[in-house]
Amino acid sequence: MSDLILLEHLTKVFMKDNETFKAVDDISLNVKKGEIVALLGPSGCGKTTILRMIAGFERPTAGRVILEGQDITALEPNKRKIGFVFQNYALFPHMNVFDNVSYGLKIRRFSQEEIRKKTHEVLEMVGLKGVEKRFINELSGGEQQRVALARAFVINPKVLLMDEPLSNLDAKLRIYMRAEIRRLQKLLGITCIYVTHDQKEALSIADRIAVMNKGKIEQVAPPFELYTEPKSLFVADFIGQANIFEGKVIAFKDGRLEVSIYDRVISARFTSSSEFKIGARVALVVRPEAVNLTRSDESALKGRILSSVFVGDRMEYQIELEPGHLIHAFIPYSQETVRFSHGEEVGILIDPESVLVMPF
Amino acid sequence: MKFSNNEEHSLKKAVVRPTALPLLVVLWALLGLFVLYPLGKLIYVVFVTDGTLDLSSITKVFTNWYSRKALFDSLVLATSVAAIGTSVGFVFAFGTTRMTLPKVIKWFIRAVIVLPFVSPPFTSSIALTLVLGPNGLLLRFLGVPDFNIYGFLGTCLAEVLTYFPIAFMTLSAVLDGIDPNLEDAAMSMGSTRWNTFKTVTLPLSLPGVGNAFLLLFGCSLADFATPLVMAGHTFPVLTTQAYLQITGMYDLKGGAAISFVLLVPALMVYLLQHYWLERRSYVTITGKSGARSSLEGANAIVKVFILGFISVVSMFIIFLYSIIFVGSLIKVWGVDNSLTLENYAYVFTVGREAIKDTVLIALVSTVLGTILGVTIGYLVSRKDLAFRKTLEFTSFLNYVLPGTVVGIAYIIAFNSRPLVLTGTMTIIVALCAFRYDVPAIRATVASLHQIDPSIEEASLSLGASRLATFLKVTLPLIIPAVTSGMRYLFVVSMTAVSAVIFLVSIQWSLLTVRILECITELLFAQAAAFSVVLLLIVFAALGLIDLLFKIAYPSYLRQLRRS
Repeated sequence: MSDLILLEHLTKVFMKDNETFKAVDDISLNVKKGEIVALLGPSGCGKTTILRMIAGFERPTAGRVILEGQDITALEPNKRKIGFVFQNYALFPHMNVFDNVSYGLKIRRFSQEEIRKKTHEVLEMVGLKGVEKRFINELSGGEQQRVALARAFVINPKVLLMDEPLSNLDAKLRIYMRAEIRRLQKLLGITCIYVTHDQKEALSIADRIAVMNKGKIEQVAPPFELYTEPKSLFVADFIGQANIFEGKVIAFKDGRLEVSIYDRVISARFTSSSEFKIGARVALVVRPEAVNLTRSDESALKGRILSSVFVGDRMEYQIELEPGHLIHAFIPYSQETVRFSHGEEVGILIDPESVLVMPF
Repeated sequence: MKFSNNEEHSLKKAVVRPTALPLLVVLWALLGLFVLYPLGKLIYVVFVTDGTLDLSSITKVFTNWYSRKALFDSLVLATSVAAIGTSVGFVFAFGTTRMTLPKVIKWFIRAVIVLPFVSPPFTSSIALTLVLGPNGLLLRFLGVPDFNIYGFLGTCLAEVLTYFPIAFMTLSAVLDGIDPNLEDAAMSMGSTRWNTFKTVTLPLSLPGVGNAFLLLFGCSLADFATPLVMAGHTFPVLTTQAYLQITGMYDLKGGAAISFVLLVPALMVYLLQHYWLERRSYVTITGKSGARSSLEGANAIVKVFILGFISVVSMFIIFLYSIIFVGSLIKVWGVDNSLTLENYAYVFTVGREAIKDTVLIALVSTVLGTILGVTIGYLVSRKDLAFRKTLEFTSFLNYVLPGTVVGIAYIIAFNSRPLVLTGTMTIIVALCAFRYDVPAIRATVASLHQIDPSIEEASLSLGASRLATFLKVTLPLIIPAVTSGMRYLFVVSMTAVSAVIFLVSIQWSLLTVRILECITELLFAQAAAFSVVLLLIVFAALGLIDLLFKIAYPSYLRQLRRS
């Protein structure tokens, strides 16, 4: 598949009280036709600004936006054929559902017949048949969300930009709409850039995720790769949960690293992109679900249970290795699961395959 | 995100809302001609004689004992009206926001707010004269026929009754805006109702009280009609003195000097209110505060007193307005109390031209003033506009200054070349449009501010041009502001007197001036009939404006009302 959208060295600098602030710092990204790419990152990392530059609401300080091989950096927003779903939906409060959805078609001077047909089609598709005459403030949050989607879909945009579209919905509805958006996107084969700060949302909806931090992209990868092969400590920490320990490289052995941690030696893997020297300080990343606990003496690491929390599908333990040093362990819950109690001495088992070494 | 959001917000507006330079040029030219030029000319006439600086006309105001008394009286009157009116307004506001009121009282209160707003400025004076003046209804009933209402007492009473609803509306918005959880929290910590009021409610509403005080102070200072009828010779005030100086003694320079003395405190009140108080308000209207607790704000005894007070004041005001109606149907008040329609016959014969002129002038002023107000409001709400604050201040000037000042400035400016407009309809319409467009400006700014920029961006991203976005999205969303501005413009253009009294002529007369003539000729019954007719026209027009927009935007307005 070819690149539909190409961002080249995109930079946005804002002025605030005579100080400059780089909201977006030299970003390059490509999005293929039919793909959903999520921009994921903490608040203030510049993801919304990128979206607004693609839509044309914001002019880049430097860099280019290429759509289908054409430079659109300076094009007016209404000439771009790009759809936008806003965080607050931005529905027109003075129009009913039908008029909201058909707005773009009327602007494009479609015939009355076509407007009716297309609008009804898209409303049926998003499951809003029968509420055409209702006004926006007569709709629930979920319904408003669907209207916003329908309004963006109906003009058949080349790219659909979504800015935290689910953040105003309650938890259950959010999960449902996640799947719904994914379904509609695949059904229509629409290309999509999706901004969110919710990693679960990004993981479940996107083909690829661009993790952003302080105006820069840290890593772009499919969800599975991002989780298992994070390229930086920020990504490892931001995606899922991670125990991060400090260690020292002792030796290379069979394509793996021997790292010392708490006077023990652990064998760990590393990603090909990073280089290590013997004696270097490194970070060890261990996912809590890769940690297991035992009462037998076989393990190298030992600790004391500080807290145990039952969250339904698993037990979450906090174990103190040394005073001030904790490790988190998630143990899936079933009838047979051994439960450890507060203050108990336990042995800690770590699957060596899931320990990843990174430069600090 | 907070940081970048702010930036984005201002930038977004810059992207979406178009400006046209020619429009701005025309607007500044008009403001220059109808706001800055008259004021400049007024100041010139006061301070310059034969091309040299001359302070004698100003010093004359301070050396002449009668005009010095007028200045003193004006300030005493304004302070009293502000203090009493704010107190009465606070009791009303506290009652409506912190107590469950019987339906009757709610109905009373509504009437009390609406009536002074829509009626001409003489109404309460005429009614008070009929009730407490010579041969007054209440006086005879009480058996004290020698009582003299004219002077400070009558003026103050009439002004308080006319202006306290302004304090009431300001304060009830403030009291409503206080997060109810704060009062509930105080109570839950063991505070009594009185203590809660003293330590939470009152301190939080103080900026609002200050604001109401200044508003009323300004209103009283600028009031012309009430003192003209009620004050008499023993209690001169600046507005009436300036008027009499010009119309009685043909001393334009002297009148201008008095009005300039009036201008200074009026402008100070405005600046104080605008730049100092606005920043001190604790109340933020987020719309997110919890539900008002069902606890009453005061105990049963206090409640009885408050309700009693509200009822008595409201009923007195309603009584006064019904007196106007009754008075208009009676031959000679207190002398020959037989019913008659002669007064209305008088209105529709002698006053026919005035009715026609007034309605025409009000209509034209409303249309032009609305266009002006929406245009200025739209431009002022653009953050990137050059001289934005200056534009806002200039467009507010004529509204902020007392009508007497503006009226005198207009005759000075447009009585001589290069632009002679005195005696024309143009000058009256210009005065109304450039003075009473301010609420339309404010409403437009406020409602544009409420429109989330993303709504306009949504329209852009759906393919609409900026112009199409403005016409199809932005404009319909500020329609409620437009209607409220229009209502105000029409009502005030119909009822204004202080400024236009200098501009009426044989060709163009106004109802309010006719009423004043009747009063000076002691034709109170005819004055009452005029007032009733004027009130009816205003109500009819307000209904018409509503109907117009109901037809133009049927479902949208219904929607707004429901939400």
